[in-house]
Parts: sequence; structure tokens; C-alpha cells
Amino acid sequence: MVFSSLEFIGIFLPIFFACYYIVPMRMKNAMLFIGSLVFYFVGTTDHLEHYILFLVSVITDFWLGIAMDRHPKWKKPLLISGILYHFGVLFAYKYMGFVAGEINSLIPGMDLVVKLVLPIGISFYTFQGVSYLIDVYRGTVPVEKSLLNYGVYITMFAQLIAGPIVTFDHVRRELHKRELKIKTILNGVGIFIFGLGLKVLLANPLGKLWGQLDAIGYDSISTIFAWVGIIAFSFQLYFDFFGYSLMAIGLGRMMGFELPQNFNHPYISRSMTEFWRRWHMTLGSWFREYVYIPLGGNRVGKVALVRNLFIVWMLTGIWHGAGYNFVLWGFSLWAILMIEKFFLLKYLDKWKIFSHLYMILLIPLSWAIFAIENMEDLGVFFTRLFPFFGQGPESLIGIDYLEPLQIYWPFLLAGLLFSTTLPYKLLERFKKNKVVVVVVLAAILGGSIYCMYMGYDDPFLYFRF
Amino acid sequence: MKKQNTITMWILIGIIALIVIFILATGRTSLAPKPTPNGGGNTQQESEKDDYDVSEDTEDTEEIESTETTESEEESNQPSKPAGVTASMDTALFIGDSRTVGIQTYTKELTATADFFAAVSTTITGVVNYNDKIDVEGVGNVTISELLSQKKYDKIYIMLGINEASDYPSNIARNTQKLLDLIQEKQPGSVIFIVANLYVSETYQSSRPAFSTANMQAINNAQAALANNQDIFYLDPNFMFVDENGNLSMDYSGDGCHLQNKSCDKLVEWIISETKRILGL
Repeated sequence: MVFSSLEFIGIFLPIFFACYYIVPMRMKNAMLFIGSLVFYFVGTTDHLEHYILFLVSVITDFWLGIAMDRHPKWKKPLLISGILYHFGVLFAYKYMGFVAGEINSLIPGMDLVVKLVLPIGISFYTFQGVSYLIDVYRGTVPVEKSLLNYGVYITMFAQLIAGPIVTFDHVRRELHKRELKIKTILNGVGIFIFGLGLKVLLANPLGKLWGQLDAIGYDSISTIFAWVGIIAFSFQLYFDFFGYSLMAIGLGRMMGFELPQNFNHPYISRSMTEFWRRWHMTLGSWFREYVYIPLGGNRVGKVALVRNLFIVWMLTGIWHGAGYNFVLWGFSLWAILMIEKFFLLKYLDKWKIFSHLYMILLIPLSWAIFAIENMEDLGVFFTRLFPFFGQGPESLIGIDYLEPLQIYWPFLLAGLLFSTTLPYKLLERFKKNKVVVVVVLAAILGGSIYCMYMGYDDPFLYFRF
Repeated sequence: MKKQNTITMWILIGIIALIVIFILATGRTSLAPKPTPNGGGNTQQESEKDDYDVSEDTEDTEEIESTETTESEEESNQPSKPAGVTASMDTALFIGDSRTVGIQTYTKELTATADFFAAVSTTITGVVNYNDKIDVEGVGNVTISELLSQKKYDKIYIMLGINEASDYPSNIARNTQKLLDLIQEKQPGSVIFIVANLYVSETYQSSRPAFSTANMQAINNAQAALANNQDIFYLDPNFMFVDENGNLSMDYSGDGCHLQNKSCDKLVEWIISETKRILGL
């Protein structure tokens, strides 16, 4: 059940919040736990084993935390066993199929078949569970003594399937005591609707443009269409994920939680270094806190620093998926960040226009590697983006982009606009005018529901993670 | 706290136990109902594909047998050339959905002079029961009935069905029959080709059970049974585009559902050659 579906908005949300607001404060965690378990159950009815895996994961983490607290001598083995369990399961579900396929292709006659469907949200709840265990091990958070509270932390439906990746420290206080103010709840409703609009009204149509290009086949498209397509994908990915993160934050506020911000206008960045401080911020924080700093962070020599960042970016790459393109994507980002760190950043800081042009070029190119999983197709696509790489000038003269541009230009324009800070500044300015806010939100909600009703909705891109 | 943890723990263990009992008792890890024998594809799961057996259903069995007869007859009884029918695309009409729009867009060298009553998401039920209007180049925004009243065609290709794949194949066949009746009423003497719905890729159908290859075959078989091999023929191009598992191969499709540009050419070339072969043109 995705947030941008009629089932969620029309059935789950009204029933859940009616119950949640009716029950007394001391029962709210229990209500949220039940609601979240129902939410995840609906999403796993085709693979009930995923549900068992999820519950086992919650129970295991909780008792490992308790055991670490009670038996300090055994802290390390308990932590290691927890990490091995989590990453073992994640590896099995996410990467075994890919590994088996590679073994088959390397060894003649080998026919390993691994067909495991990735459980919804496993990449997110694995990271949350592991962060909790490490925090308890380090003593940076007190162990949670209530299974109910810990269960709410992991299962909370607002962030369960697609983040933001919330650490226990972030919500610990609210798990024990939180306030529900009308103003915060209404603010949460507004954020949820705005996120829904970004997802349904902006990301989905742009996704269709990319899908159209994908369906035609990369070897048949012109250079301009290739650029239009990958720009559309870049906007789709951003508004899809940003919209979903906003919906999560909005839902969190409606329940009295302040979930962390996940995006901060990444497309206005002037370097890749800055971009990754603004994009999927909770993932970046996770890798910094639990991989980069334990490796020594930046308090090491240059060689070790380069190595540490290499490890972080390769892990970031493969976290996003099992495929050579994700390895290449992680490697490319690492290489770009290293070039920026040791050479380019000082120039990018000085030259504003150049730095924006640099990012306008680099962002779609990096997303092309991310989007196209088949390496051969990726190669073909790059020859379309840059026709002087073997394709020849004929792909420059195609006019296949005219028809899709006629349909999608308003969405591309809106994508460009909403990538800047301008609309958000305008919203901020009109925030006090309640009539304007209500009218805008009602229009967004109405438009989104209409599109969902008409079946213009797409599954959330980040579900495969 | 201890009491609360115990209660929570028992509730979670209880849920796990219930699910384990369900899995052990039914041998299934999915709550989705098993596919109905007559092809209610919207409930069918990929993992159950092998269990799917359309032959359990009497109606569909007849349809399959009929299809086999159709194919064998096609080989042995070459019909004579129908009067007035030519090989030219000038007098051809394609009725279809987004896949046909792909043909219209990317096979201009082959089909520039043909007419296309095709739009994204088109269904047979929409065309015959709801009088959906489609913008036909050079004609305007018309229903199929209006189009068939305005222009004369000698070859009409029907390429529909996938957008209503969650419906029963027998219902789809019933609506296809209505479309055939309408065409025969408005365009006497024309030859109609029902082109089989192309399958979708394994990945594509994994999240859309209605599009499973088994269900698409059931729909195709139901439509194939409507062919009479006199003026209604059935063409199945799937053999050209399937992978080793019988699903649409990603070698021919970008998104697992629609054919790529070059594959559209291949499909149309095959349709044209089959048309000539069948009609002896």
C-alpha cells in the first residue's frame, strides 16, 4: 500500500487516525504499533514470509539491545551477531539473485536459480535496526526497555517502507512522551498533501516521458530526446522520493513525531559534494555515522581518506541495487567527489554560473548510470547523449522529441521551477493567509485524487529498495 | 514494563504462529486467492503460474481446441483471394491500444497510408460498449462505428485485449465478437485479422498478475476461437518475441510491455507477409 493510493488515503488513513486520536495518550503507541503492523501486512499478503522476517527482525533487535545492556561483557559478540543477521538477510534477498546469475555466466554448465522477491522496506528497516544496535553498543542511546516502543520505532508506517532513515536517538523522546497540537497536526496534513502533489502530479507524468523513451529503445532515439528523457527521469526521481519523504514527515507530524528532513533543494547545488549533502540526507548521515567515522573519517592521511570515501561510495552504490550499473554509479560519484575535493571545489566555489552549468550536466549523467541497469544499453544511451562517441551526427537531426515535448513541457517546466527555492519561498510568504493555503492544498489534493482515480498513479520508485 | 513486554511478545509470536500455520496448512505463502480456472487473471500470482490450467474449464477447453483447429486449417485450407482485397496498406485499418500506437509512430515506412483507430489504454469494451472516441488522422475524433461508416477498408486488424486482461477471457471474447459483428455490418467484404495480444516480460508480469503469460494465452485463445478462416483470421506473432520461458523477451522491449522501434518493424513486416500468404495475394 503506497501513500499515493486511494486505498491508503481513502481507507487506511481515516480509519487509523480516527482510532489514533480517539484513544488516550498512553494507548497511542499501541494504536500506532497495531496500525503499522496492519499497514505492513497489507503490503506483504503475497509474501507472508516477509512479514515473519520483519517481526523476527523487530524481536531480535529488541532482545539483542536488552542483552547488551544486561551483559556488557557480551556486548561485542551480540552486536556482531545482530549486524551479521541483518546484513546476511539483506544480502540474501537483495544480492543473491545477482550473484547466482554472475556465477552461472562465469562457470559453464552452472545453473543456480535464486528467485527471491525483495521484502518491502528491508533496506530501510535493516539500517534502522543496525543503527540502534550500534548506538546501544556505543552507549550513545539508552537501551529501549519497552518492546512496544521499540516496535513503534521500527514499524512506524510513516517511515517504514521508504524512509527517511530514522535513528532511534531521533525519535526516542517522542516515543516516550509527545504532544499532539492541532497546529502541528494541520501542518502535517499540509505537508502530506504537498508531498502527494509532487509525487502524483509531477513525478508520475515525468516518469511516463522517461518510460516512453525506454519503450522506444535507446538505439532509436535522437540526441535531444535522450537529453529530454534523462532530464525528465532526474525530475521524476527527485519529486518521487522528495514527495514521498514529505508525505512521511507530514504523517509523522500528524502523529506527534518530528521525522528528519531528507532533501534540501539538491538540484540547486553547485558541486556534487554539496549535492550529496542535500540529497537523501538521512542515508548520507547513516553512512557517515556508522561507516565513515568508524573508518577514521577525515582525521586520517590522504590515502586513508580516499580509501574511506571509496568504501562509503561503493556501499552507497550497492545499497541502491544489485547490478554493475550501481557499482559504476557509486564509483563515478566517488571519482567525481575526489576530483572536487582535491582540485575542482575551489573553482566551483568561485565561479557561480560555471558551477551551476557543471551540475546541470552532471546530475542527469549520474542518474543515467543509476537508471539504466543493463550495461550494454547504458553504453548505447551515452552514444545518443554524445553522438560524437560513435553514433554519428544522424541522431542529432531526429525530431522524435517534438511530440513528447508538446505533451510534457508543462511538467518539465514545473519540475525546473520546483527544483529551485522560489515556489517554497512563495509558499512561505503566503503561509499566514489561511484562505490561500486551503485553496492551494485543496486543489493539489483534488487533482491528486482525480489522477489516482483515473489510474495515472505509478508505483513508488524507491519501493525496490 | 515486564508485563507489557510479555503481552507484546506473545502478540507478535501469535501473529508469527498464525502465519506459519497458514503456510503449513495451505502450502502457500500468499493470501491472494488461487486463480479461477476460467482465467480470472487479476488474482493470479506468478509463483502459481505452473498450477494454472485453463483446460479445467469447459468453455476454455473448447476455445483451445477450436484454436488448434483454426491453426491447422490455416495450414491446409488456403482460402481463395477474397474479392476486392488488396495487399496495399492504403485500405488497411488497425484497431488497437498503446502497442498499436507504437506501430503507428515507428513504422511509418510500412504503414504511413494505413488508418489507425488506436490510443493508449484502449479496451474492446470501451470501443464497443462505451463508444470511445479516438482521433483518427485525416478523419477526426470518431467512434469506431462512425469511422467504419465514413471510410471503406478491406483489411482490418484488431489488436486489443491486454488493457482488460483482468476480465474473464470469455467476456473479452464476447466483446470481441460484438466488434466483429459491427465491422461485418459496416464493412461487408472486408477481411478481419485478430492479432494475438503480445505477452509481457517476466519482470513486468511479476507485479501485474493479470498480465501473466498464462492469462494472456487464455485471452488469445478465447479470441482465436472467433476466427472462421473465411473472412476472420487469427495471427499470433508471439513466437518472434518470446524468451526461453515463453515471456516477452527484453531483447525486443524497453519496458517489458511495448515493443521497441525495430521490433515494431519486425511485427508489421510479419503481419503484412502473413496477410499476403493467407489471402494468396
